[in-house]
Amino acid sequence: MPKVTIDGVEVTVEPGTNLIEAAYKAGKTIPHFCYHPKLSIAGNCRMCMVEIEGGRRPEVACNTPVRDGMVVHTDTERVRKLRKAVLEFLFLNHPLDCPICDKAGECKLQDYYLEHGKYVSRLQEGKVRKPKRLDIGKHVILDAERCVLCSRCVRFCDEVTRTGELRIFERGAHCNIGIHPDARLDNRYSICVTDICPVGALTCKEFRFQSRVWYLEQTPTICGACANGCNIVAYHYRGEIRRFMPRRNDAVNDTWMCDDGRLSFTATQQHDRLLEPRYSGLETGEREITTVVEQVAKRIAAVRSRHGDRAVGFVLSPRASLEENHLIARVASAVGASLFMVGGNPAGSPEDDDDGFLIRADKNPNTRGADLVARRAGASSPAALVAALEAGTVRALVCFNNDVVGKAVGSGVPATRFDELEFFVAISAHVDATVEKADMAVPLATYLESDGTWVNHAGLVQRYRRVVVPPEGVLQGWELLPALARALGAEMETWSPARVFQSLAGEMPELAGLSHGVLGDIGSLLIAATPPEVAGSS
Amino acid sequence: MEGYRILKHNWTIPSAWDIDVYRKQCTFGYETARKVVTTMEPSAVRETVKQAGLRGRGGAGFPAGVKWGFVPKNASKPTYLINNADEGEPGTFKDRYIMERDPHQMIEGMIIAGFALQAPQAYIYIRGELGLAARRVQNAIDQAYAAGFLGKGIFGTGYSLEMTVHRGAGAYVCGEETGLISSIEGKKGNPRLKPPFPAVVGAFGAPSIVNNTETLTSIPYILEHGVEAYRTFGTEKSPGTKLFTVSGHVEKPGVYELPLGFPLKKLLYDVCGGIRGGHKLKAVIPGGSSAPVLTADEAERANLDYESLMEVGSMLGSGGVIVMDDTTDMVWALKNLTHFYAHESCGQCTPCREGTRWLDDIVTRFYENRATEEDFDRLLDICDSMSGTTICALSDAAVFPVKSFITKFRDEFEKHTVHGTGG
Ligand SMILES: Cc1cc2nc3c(=O)[nH]c(=O)nc-3n(C[C@H](O)[C@H](O)[C@H](O)COP(=O)(O)O)c2cc1C
Ligand code: SF4
Ligand code: SF4
Ligand code: SF4
Repeated sequence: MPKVTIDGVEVTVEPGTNLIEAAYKAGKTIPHFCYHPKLSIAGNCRMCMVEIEGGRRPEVACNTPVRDGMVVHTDTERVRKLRKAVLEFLFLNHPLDCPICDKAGECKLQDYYLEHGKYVSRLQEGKVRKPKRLDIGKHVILDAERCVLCSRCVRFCDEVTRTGELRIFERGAHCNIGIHPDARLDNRYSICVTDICPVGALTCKEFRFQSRVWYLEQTPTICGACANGCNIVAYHYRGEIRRFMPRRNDAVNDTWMCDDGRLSFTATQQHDRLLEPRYSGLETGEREITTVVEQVAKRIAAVRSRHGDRAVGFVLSPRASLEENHLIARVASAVGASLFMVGGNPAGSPEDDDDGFLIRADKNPNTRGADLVARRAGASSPAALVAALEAGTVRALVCFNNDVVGKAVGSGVPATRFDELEFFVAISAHVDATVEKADMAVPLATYLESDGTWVNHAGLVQRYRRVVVPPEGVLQGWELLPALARALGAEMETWSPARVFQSLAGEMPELAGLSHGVLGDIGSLLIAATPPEVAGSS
Repeated sequence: MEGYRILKHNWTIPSAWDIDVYRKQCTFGYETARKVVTTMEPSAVRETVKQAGLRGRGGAGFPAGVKWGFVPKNASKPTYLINNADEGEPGTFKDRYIMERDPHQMIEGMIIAGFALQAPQAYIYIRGELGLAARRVQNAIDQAYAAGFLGKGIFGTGYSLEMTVHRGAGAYVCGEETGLISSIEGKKGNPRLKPPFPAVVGAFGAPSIVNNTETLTSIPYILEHGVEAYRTFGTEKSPGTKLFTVSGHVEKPGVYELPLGFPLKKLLYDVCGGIRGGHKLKAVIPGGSSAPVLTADEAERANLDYESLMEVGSMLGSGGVIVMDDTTDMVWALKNLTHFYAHESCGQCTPCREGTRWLDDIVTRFYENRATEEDFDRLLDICDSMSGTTICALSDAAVFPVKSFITKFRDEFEKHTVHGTGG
């Protein structure tokens, strides 16, 4: 493997690595606008020029692969001069809209000016004017004046979505980023162009003028809108989420995410939240969550005493975390209840919506994880649930974060089946069809208000993190389930999700050796379960 | 000067652009190509061109035979031969004459080059404005197909060569070989990052050899008469003859074929009849607008070959000799050029896109007597930031005139400052 020396630091990198990436390894950031690790090399901004010993002139780092023994300097007088010159050139025709620009605070022009610019303006002529505030797609607004013509957005639409909506028109100083008059930037990943735009030329309608980015806090987490589990950063301000942005994970989503997932936080956050318990005859004093849990337990106990332990059913959920599913299974087994697994997409999900890229037809974040727990715990199928409901062998049902009524068609359980239940409980973050039908509904924190792990479609175990605190009086799954177990007379301590995961990993060969710590920010593949030993083979 | 007529030989023959005339009355007459294709090994043809030392006539002067050697041996895709007839360099109008007067010799050169490279397809990229040239070339191609010199199994051999004309749309930058390739592919004519070089990854991802029209038209002579005959013209390092297109303030502007190394002074005073109307020579741009300007003194010392012109700080370039007499306003002349480059930059590279316009703005300020003393350093500083820092050489080409004009003719520019005009 080639060894290169960058500013005196020797690093060994894979053959073919370009100097920008090699420099990262040496702890150096070479400034650049047009280079992007997931797009082809354009080499047009000319910001990343470095000097290579033995070379005739500075070269762009992005298009220079390492050679063994290469000695590179990224901070010579010539390099500094050229960077400053590129910035001065870019600002010649730049509008400096910073006060009203959404990119301000995370703008490469701003940042690089501070680090590499700081010259006294020599501009005397007027600036080239270009179109502003162009509505080019469902989610994206274009300001051509702010564009530094790096062509990242063009390459994204050509190479990643292969929809080719954007082009740079005209030439010279009149070059213009734009879209064909008859076209719209309406591909399903369109907002990604606003992430990769190094300046405020492309902005997201949903985020425009919503926040000054420097006030936002960031939490790395996972998108829960489908089984792909794109890695994201959730940006929030005073307990309110303002945007999702993709976070690089080459095993999952590179640096991208779909628009639906990106905007899913609005629904998760505000839409039809269940913030208070619901049941008929609810008294003011019973809004206290512990009282509510006791109420639930009391009524389950009544069914148990009438029909026996097995008449109580718990349902695992493809939307709940591994930890929550594990706890549901433990509560069920502690009280001798029946356990079911009902998968299927939430109500209103499009059918067969899989684009072979990131968007998965399975709109649940944890179908694979729930299935694992279901198999481990011997949970029964939706068909078995239908049969049990028909036969009346299950008389009380607890659904945790699983809209079994709303998605009845997809799950194979007809909605009317639930009418016969003596006691039907929904534990849910949102008011859905199950909550509407249930005898009691208990509010639950969303995945953005809690910690846990999901297993994505490809078997990658990933941690999601609590981004904001749950609303007043709303518990997280890992708090609620042990409380319910205890109210039902079982012994169960309240463990943190990390601790729950630890106990789960101890039981499941697929998770052997994994922990929240090991999973870190980029997750880990399920361990291939070792085939059962053939008797007498050793 | 008849002995120099490698390239212009057929121009005086009426209707040489017709294949019958070309075959009966002109030199080569497709017999050279026939001999090469039917009797020679491709490698021997490549070697002959290399030995002849034929250097690219498009501007950079890179040895053609050496460039041909860059095509990878076991490429999985075919090699394309591309004739660069975009001729956009201001002051240059030689390829146009070749195409209008003698398209068959050019095609014959391309057949030989195509055979040497075993290329199944050749393109001729003709500047959009050159309507007559394009018609003559297309007609000549059709005739060559009809005669069995192009198409399947030419000259009855197993070698096939298709030839296609591609018209430009008036962008100078499409003459840059990778911009030209983008354009042939149907894309905006943006030059491409190198490496990879076109000989390795060119048009449609296949190895492609781009040669200038004049380069290709020089080839039949080399294969007909041999390396030694060709090398009797020119100098050791710049062999052969070249077309020089003289424009501006001489008595007899025109296209002249001269052996390389020919004294520029002799070209101006003997060949072109001297400076017009008895005026005095002020300046010469010897190799198309991108070449640094020479003062009268420098011009009178220089010889027209790659090395001599380098020595006086300029270049042979495309051989477009632009002559300026003492009536020329150098500020105006430079403004004309800076405007051209600002207009023609493709706009990909930050320094070129913004720099060409800024140079033009400042030179315009001189022209309008609004410049200040600081503008000299400012221009030179911008030039420095634009030199060797871009994807293609257009940026450097824009810089050469500015640097040379304002340093060599500084006094004229001084007069245009606010100070100089007393304003
Ligand atoms: C801005 C620019 C414009 C160019 N225009 C032309 C042109 O019109 N014709 C040409 O033959 N070469 C032109 N060239 C040079 C080509 O890039 C290339 O070097 C040449 O076609 C190679 O042919 P040759 O080796 O036979 O000279 C241009 C180069 C630059 C940088
Ligand atoms: S892109 Fe926006 S924030 Fe960045 S410099 Fe321009 S106006 Fe300011
Ligand atoms: S809009 Fe943004 S991403 Fe697109 S070319 Fe301009 S600066 Fe680059
Ligand atoms: S140097 Fe100028 S013309 Fe050449 S690629 Fe860059 S911007 Fe385009």
